[in-house]
Amino acid sequence: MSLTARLTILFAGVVALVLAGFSTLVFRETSAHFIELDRSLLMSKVHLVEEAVQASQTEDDLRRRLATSTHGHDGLYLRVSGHSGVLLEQGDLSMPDAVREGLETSLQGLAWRDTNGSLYAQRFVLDLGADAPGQISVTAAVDTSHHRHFLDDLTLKIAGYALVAVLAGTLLGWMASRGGLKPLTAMKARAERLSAQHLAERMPAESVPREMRELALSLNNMLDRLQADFERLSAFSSDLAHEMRTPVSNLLTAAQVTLAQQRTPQDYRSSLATISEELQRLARTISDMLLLAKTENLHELPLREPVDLVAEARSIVEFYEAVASEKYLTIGVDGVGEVAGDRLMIRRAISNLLSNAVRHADAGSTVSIVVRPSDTGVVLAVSNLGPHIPVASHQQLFDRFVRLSPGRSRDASEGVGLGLPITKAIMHAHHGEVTVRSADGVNTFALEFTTR
Amino acid sequence: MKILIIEDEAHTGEYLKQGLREAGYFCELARNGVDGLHEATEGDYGLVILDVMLPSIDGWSVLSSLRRKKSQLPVLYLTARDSVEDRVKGLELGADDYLIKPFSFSELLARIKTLLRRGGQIQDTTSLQIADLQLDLVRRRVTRSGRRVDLTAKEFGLLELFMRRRGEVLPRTLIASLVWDINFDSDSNVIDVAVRRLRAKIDDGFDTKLLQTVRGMGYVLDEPDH
Repeated sequence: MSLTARLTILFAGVVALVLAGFSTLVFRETSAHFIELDRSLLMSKVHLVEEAVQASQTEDDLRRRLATSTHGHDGLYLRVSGHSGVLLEQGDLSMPDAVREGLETSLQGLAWRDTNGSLYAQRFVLDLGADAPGQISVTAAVDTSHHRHFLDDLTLKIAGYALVAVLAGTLLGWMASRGGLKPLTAMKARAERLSAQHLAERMPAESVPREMRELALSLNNMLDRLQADFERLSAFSSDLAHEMRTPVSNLLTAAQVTLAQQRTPQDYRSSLATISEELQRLARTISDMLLLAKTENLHELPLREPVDLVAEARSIVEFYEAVASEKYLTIGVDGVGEVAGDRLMIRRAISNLLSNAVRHADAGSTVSIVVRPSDTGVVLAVSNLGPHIPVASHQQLFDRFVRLSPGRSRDASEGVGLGLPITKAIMHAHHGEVTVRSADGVNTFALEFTTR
Repeated sequence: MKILIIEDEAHTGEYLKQGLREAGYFCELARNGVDGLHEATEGDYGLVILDVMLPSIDGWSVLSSLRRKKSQLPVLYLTARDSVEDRVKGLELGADDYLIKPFSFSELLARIKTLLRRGGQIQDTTSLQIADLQLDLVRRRVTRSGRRVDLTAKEFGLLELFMRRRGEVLPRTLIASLVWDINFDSDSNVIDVAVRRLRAKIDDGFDTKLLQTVRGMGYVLDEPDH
C-alpha cells in the first residue's frame, strides 16, 4: 500500500475515533441530565403527596387534599395507594403493564420506551414514622417523549456531522500526505535522471524538510563515492587501452616485419625472443593495472597479520643487493616497528620504493631505510641521494603512467610506471599514506602507517 | 610421463600440447569438461592441466569429481580471473598448483616439473655437481675446477636452484619467488643483474659457459653439449 494511502487511512481513522468518543460522551451526559430532570419533577410531586399525608387526619381528608394539590399537570401520572387501596389515580398517561409489574418489585427508576412514546416511572414508599397506621406508596411517571425526540434528533445530527467530518478529514489527510511526501517525489525525479553519463546529479538536500535532509545527504554521499569509483574505472579502462596500444603495435610490427621475407633460423629465433619479451612486459602491465584497480577499490583489507617492517625491509634489500652493488650503493636498514597489515602488499610497497631509490640514487652513495614510530603510528622511510624532485610534481608522481620527463622513453627496468600509484593504493588500503620529501639533495619516500 | 590438457580454447590447447611434447612429455588434449573428466579417470596420466573456464561442466566440477575418483593425480589449473576467491577455491578443491593467464610457458614448464618431482625421489644429497662445478651443501662452498668461488648467501641460493633444476629454463618470476620470496611482479632487471653477477663468478675464465640465457624465456644451467 502506498504511503499516501496509509497516512490518509490513519488520518480518517483518528478523526472517526475522536468524534465517536466525543459523541458518546455528549449523548450519555445529556441522557443522564434528562433523567435527573425527570426524577426531580417526580420528587416534587411526591413531596406534595407527603405534605398532604402529613396534614390529613383521615383517609377521606387525604383524598380531598390530594385531589386539590396534585392535579393540573400534562404528561404526568400519579397513583397513591395506602393500606386500604388506591387513594388517588390521576394523569393522562397510560401505564404499560410491563412498567407496572416492574415497579411492583423495585424502587428503582425505570425508563420505558415503545413506538407510542416514552416515559420515566418510579415508585416511592413514604416514610411516615413508626406510629403511622400503614404504608403509603406513591407511583409516579412522567412522559419523556420530548426528551426522547430531542435525543433522537441529536443522535442524527451528530452522526451526520461525524460523517462529514470524517470525509473532510480523509480529504485533508490525503492532501497533507501528498504535500508532505512531495520532497520524496522530487528526489525520485532526480534519481530517475541519474545515469552513468549523468552521475553529477544530486539530491536537493537544501530544499527538502529537515527529516529528509539526512536521507538526502546520505544518498549524496553514496553518489559521491559511486561517481569517484566510476571515474576511476573509466580512467582505468582508457589508460589500459592507451597503454596497451604501443606494445601491441610493436608486436604487430615485429611479427609482420619478420614474416615479410625469408630469414635464417637465428633471425626467426631472435624475433620471437623480442616478441616474447615484449609480451611479458604487456602481461605485466595488465596484471599491474588489475592489481592497482583492485587495490584502489579495496576499502578494507580482507585480513591483517602482524608484519615486522624491519625484517621485511631486510628481506627486500637482499633482492636489490646485486643491482645496488652494480652502482656501488650501500643499503642500510635501521630502527624497529611492526604494523598489522597484508604482508604481501607491504612487501610490494617497500620493494617499489626501494626499486625507485636504487634506480635514482647517485652512484656510490647510501640508500637508507629507517623504521621509526611517529605521532600517529609507524613510518618506514626510504632515502637516497639524487636529483631534486620539484614540489610541483610531487602529486603527479602518484598518478598512473606519469613519467617526470615526458619526452624520455622508459627503459626496460623502469616497468610501466605503476609502482608509486600501486604503493599509494596499498597504503590507502592500510589507512595510511605515502609521502615524498626532496631537500638538500636527499629524496625521501615514506610509508606512513596509522596505528592509533 | 603423460599429461592431460583440458582446455576449450583451440589455440591455447594446441600451443600447450606442442610445447609440452617438445619438452619431452606425451600429451593429450580434451576440449571440454566431460571428455576431460572421462580421459583423466580412464587414462593413465601423471598430471592434469585444467582450464577452469570450460563449457558445459566447468573446471571446478571437473576438479571435484576428479578428486573423488583419483585423489593422487596432480592437477594444475589455469585461470584468467585473478581473484583471491578463485585461487583459494581451486586449492581448497584439491588442486596442487595454479597459474593465472597470461602466464609464460617457461613458468608452466617449471611448475609442471615441480609437481611431477613431488612425491618422487626426494634427493637428500650433500653436494651437487655439473661438469666441473661443484656445490657443497653442507659447508656451503662452491668450487669450479677445484678453485674456490666466493658467493654471497643469495648467490649461493640462486646457484643451488639452478643446479637442482639442471637443464630447466627458469623464468625470472620463478627465480624471484624461490630465491628471494618475491611473489609479485618486480623489476625483471634485478634478476638479470643477479644472474649476470653469478655468471661472472662461475663462468668467467672458463671456456665452458654453464649458465645460459634463453632469450624471452629465462635462464638455464647445464653443460652446453647436453
